Amino acid sequence: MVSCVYVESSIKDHERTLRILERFKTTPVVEIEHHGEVFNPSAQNFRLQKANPALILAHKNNRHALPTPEGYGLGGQHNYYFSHMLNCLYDCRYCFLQGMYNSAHQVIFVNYEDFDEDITQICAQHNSEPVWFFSGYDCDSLAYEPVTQFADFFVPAFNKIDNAWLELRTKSTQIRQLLKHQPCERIITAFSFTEQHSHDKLEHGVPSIEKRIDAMRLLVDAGWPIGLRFDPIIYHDNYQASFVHLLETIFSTIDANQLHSVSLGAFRLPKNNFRQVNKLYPDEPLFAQNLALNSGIIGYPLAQEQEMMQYCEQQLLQHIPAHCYHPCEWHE
Amino acid sequence: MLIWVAALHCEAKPVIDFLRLKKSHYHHAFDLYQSDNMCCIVSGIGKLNVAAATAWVAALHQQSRSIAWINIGTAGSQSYAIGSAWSINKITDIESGHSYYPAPLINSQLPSEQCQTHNQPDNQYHPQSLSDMEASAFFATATRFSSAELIHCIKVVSDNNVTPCSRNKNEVSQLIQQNIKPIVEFSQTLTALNQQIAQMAIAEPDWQRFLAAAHFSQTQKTQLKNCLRFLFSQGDSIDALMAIISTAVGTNASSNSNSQSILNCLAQRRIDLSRNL
Repeated sequence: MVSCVYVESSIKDHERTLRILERFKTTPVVEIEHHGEVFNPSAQNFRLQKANPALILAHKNNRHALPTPEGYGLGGQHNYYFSHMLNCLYDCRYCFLQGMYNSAHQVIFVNYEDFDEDITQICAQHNSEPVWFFSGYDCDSLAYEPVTQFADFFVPAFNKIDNAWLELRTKSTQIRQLLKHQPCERIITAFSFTEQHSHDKLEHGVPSIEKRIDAMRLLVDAGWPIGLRFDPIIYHDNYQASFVHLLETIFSTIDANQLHSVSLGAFRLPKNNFRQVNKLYPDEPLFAQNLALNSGIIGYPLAQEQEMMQYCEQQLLQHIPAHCYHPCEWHE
Repeated sequence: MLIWVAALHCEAKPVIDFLRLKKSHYHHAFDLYQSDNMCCIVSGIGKLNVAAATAWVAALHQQSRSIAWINIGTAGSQSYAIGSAWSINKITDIESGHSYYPAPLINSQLPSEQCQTHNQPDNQYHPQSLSDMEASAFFATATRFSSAELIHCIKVVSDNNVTPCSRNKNEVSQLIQQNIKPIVEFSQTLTALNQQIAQMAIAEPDWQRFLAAAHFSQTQKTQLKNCLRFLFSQGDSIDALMAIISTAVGTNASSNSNSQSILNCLAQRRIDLSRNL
């Protein structure tokens, strides 16, 4: 439930703003000058806000698409990310977004046309070489689709740029807008999964594994390329059997040869994010596990992480062709 | 702890009476009324008074695990009915131009509206905003002690274009009194929210018991606090944890090695309890 909608004065009459506000007729609307007034103050409690976040409609002035951090990508040479939203509808306890911002409110930047313009320019700078864009870095790409109509705008936008590749990263089942469009081989919808026990304990508000597999199947049937992201892998006594069961469940429905890409990574958080989320959720067992600091990242001790990755990799490669496998490399 | 802040006695009186708060005879800087987990302070009119009162009462309750705040008072309005009550969702300080945004409380019976805070009484009512003389300073001060979700302003319209501001104290009290039910319900919702934060903190006497067990460095204190907050959340009692650490600490060991033994012992218990999420 959205507690309030804050709207920047400069975009209060924007067509996309008016359409979104139509969906929140009974929610208080407050006009603001800049989203930072509400989003940035330090005296906010992310955990309390997350229970009933507000929606902020804003204009992004510049830096619409940025180079990805080191190691982020699917093997492409030119990698960028862009965020039409800040923060996620879901509440996954392992997610780095919890420690990223002071606020849990959801920001939607309504000026999609400016993002499109920057993306077009970046692609032109790289001549005809493939350029990857990742839209699920600061949010779930599709979870808020009924409100944002993000895919509805960006699918045609990417379709018209021959060297632009887009990853839509999601845990949602919001594929209706995608299915309205002709499939594009350069737009990959990548579904994130953790095995059942971690899903039950840590992914609050996320659709069930079965429902997400159904959504994947509908996309595959319609000719859309899809990806799988097993990230993060989380330790518990039964994680191996549970991961094997997840793979069996997925590949009993999805033909592995139709996958564009699959990635795998163990649980990890940058040190500062970890500190922040541990402060917010001192009662969370995930943060009380046996973790260690390595190259500025908090994760499982190296030997344990290697063991987990090796096991999961081995199981995964029994189902998928090796060429589409991309392990998440974050160690220096 | 819930703290009510009112500028005038007549604005505070309906809350004090309804919640049966008792006047404190130990404090003289401001009039203070209190019960076990609640108090009401009367600040006097204006930004300076309310800032001083808010900071003073926060210092008085610095050992509270978490403080929630409500600024209760009257306000002017161009168009709203006399006696209508509002929770405030945007406060603009007319002098500085700065705006503050109290987070709306879900399931509140009170409608929300904006409020402008003036230095002087203002008869030029704004068409889309209430007018008062304290909210901005109250909010700015309270956010030094609590997060914004726990700080709210409730304003009851006392004057508008048709009816000038009343100087009759009973009439002012009556305006608040007629809204006391939704106001108290609002405070109960806020108290429940505050409880979520308070229960994650370690009670000061419990914390002191652990600190007395050995000499902890500053870093170790942080580690100890992290461990204890998790273990308490999993249902461990202080007595059970004290028993565990007393067996871990050798009688002849130095205070420094005691502190490390205690931390190791608690850290191991934390890992054991968390391995299956």
